[in-house]
Amino acid sequence: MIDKDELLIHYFQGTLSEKDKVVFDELIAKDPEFKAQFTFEKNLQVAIKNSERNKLKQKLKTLEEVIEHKTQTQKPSNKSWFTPMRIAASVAILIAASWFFYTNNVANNPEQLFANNYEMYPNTVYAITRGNSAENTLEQKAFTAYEANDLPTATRLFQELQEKSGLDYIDFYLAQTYLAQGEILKSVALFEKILEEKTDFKTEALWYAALGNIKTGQETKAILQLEALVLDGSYKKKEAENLLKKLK
Amino acid sequence: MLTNETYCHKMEKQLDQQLFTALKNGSETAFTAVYEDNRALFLNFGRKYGLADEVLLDVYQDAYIAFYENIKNGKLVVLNSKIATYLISIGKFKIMEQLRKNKKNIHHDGLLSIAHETDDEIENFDIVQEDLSKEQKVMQLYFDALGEKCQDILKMFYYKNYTIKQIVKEGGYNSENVAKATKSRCLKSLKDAIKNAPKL
Repeated sequence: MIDKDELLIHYFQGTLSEKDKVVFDELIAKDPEFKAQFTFEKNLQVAIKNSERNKLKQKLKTLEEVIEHKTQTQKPSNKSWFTPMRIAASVAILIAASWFFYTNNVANNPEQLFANNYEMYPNTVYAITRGNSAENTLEQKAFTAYEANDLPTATRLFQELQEKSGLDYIDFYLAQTYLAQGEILKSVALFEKILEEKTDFKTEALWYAALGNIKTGQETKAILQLEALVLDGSYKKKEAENLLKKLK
Repeated sequence: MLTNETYCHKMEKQLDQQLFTALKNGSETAFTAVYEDNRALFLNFGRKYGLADEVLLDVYQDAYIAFYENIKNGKLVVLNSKIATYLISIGKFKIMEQLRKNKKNIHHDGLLSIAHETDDEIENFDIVQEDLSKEQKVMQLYFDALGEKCQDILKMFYYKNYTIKQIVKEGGYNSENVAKATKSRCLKSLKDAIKNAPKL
């Protein structure tokens, strides 16, 4: 008796012998059930390929944003930007962009989900008061830059702090600065590292890791993280539930 | 003694080899680095064909994905040329595809010579991107909704072209029979899900 399953396995692995090939072709011609199974698996192969391709494409698009951002911040600022023509042009682009978003009804696309839910986490650990400005520690400088939204400086100082201090919340704020500057992959990696550590910002890190993963098309990971957040229930439970509804 | 030039060449080759190995092992860093390293080169190359940067970037991404896929599915096992050469060769093919789509410039002399052939180093590659049929689109929808374990094993078999032996090892299965049974079960749940699907 011929094992049809084995024949299909050999077909997909490209290991059909000449003899098997003859049997295989005959079955395709004469056995509708076999042919249907073959077509099913062949279609699945195309579908998986496309699914993987979409994920990679999403990843590269995010990467492209990061590259774009980098080249933009490297350019010196140009004050003549604010000429009326330029403003008019930007408004036109803005209108075109919103029209594009509207007509494509992409309210649930990753970009949009991210944009609707993302907000940089506020400084909740270091009190910057005018009184103790004489102190001027590295930590103070870092959080001052963070609050002033001077992200490149904040990143640099947090990186320095990360090396020098044992403070367990530095990773979290460093990851915040990455995320805010569009360095999504880097930030997600760091947020996920925080999940394995004992810190006060674990649930918060879960939320931001999930957002980052949504943006980079890692939906499965994001769903798992959001589910963990709902289970925990102490932070952003409602938002996580809402996002889960849209993702599933 | 090595001259400076051959020394540099050797270093470059070594670096390419390292990046290639890292890509094969799924390194995210390498994935980003190789993309960034060849981006400007590709844009410069592509501009000759009169395509806008925006289009070229899209083409570059598709070419990059195709390159990566052929590493992942085992079609590109040994790096015989520079990574950049592969990317340009695939890109050239993709640019032709794009131009054919635009139905533009196709009788341009320079193009004719390469319009119907691919470079030697990518001869056996899988680079054609076909549109999905309706069945395949539905299939993808339900595949994406499968459990992780099922997605993984089906991906290993149909996408990465792993042998059953490799699947046993990578997926942590107890035996080849267990792996095969899991694969069959996953195929069946996919089939059932599609059968019970509301008609679109």
